[in-house]
Amino acid sequence: MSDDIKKYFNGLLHKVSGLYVIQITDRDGVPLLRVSHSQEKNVDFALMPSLIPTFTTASDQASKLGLGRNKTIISMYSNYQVVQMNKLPLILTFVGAEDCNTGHILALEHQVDGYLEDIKMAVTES
Amino acid sequence: MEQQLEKVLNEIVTQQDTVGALLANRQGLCLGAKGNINPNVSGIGMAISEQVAKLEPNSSVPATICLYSGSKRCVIQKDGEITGIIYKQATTGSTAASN
Amino acid sequence: MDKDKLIVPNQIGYLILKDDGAVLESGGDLKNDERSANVIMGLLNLTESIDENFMPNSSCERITIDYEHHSYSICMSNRRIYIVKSSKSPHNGATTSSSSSTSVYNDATEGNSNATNPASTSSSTVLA
Repeated sequence: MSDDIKKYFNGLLHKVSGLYVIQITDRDGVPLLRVSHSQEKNVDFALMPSLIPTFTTASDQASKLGLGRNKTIISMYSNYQVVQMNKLPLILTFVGAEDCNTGHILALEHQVDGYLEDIKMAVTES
Repeated sequence: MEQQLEKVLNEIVTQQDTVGALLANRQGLCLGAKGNINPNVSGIGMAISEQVAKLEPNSSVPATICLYSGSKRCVIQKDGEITGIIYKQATTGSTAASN
Repeated sequence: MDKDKLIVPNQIGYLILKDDGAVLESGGDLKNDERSANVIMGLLNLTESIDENFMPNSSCERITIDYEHHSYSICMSNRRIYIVKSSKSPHNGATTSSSSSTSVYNDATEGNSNATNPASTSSSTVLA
């Protein structure tokens, strides 16, 4: 089953041009699945232990703005863009080039929902 | 600020057989949508127009892409930074005529 | 061109691909054009899932790509992908009337004349 999911996410990664990494973690940043372009530039910062907890905190804070629960945070940098989705208990992180198709990444959200359910089950059970 | 955009979109959706229309920016984000169309489509629409741009990179005039499925059509055109996506559905009358 | 297959009038090139993207036949402008074949396979990959509420996934049976003076028609049939590049300007005085073109060609021009204008108006307005 895990191979299936990995294959699917690899397919997604190749569908969106300029996307380097897709990563699924729990809310503390423990990686559950990661697919990346092997030949792409160094995007190891996506694995930095501080990245995911920082997002979780930011998302929690953003949920307090009175606009409802925060779903997605898009961060633009000069060389990268990071799209993070709050799918508690899971966090979905996309890292891409700065000119990568943000709209396309966002549209993946409802496509991956089915697959995330499987992983979610595994997380809540453990 | 987006009054012009709204005006243009309104103009498009009042055309015959048009179901919905939207405009996407360079990042694939939806600038505006009218009619029955999901704003999330902006990303994939933009990706399609970028892909087609690779077909003839030297062409000065942007291509118009049309996807057909039964009586439905999806028309995509990229012009500079902006991509337009239009959904069309032929009414029974015009389908009969075109066949 | 005489040994090339003629699929539609005004044809200037064609490609026939297997569903995995391998080139089976080619001719004219698109002779051995692996690059175009790859671009089109990428395009088909993207068109698989546009909007389930409007078009069911993978239901798209035909795609046209229109340029000023020529156009591409892409059709899927029998696990094969047929790509035809055809010219819009009449070839060697060939008749241009709709009777000489296939319905694919007609439909594409009709669809675009309706749709293109508002789209191009829109972008020029925005950029202005």
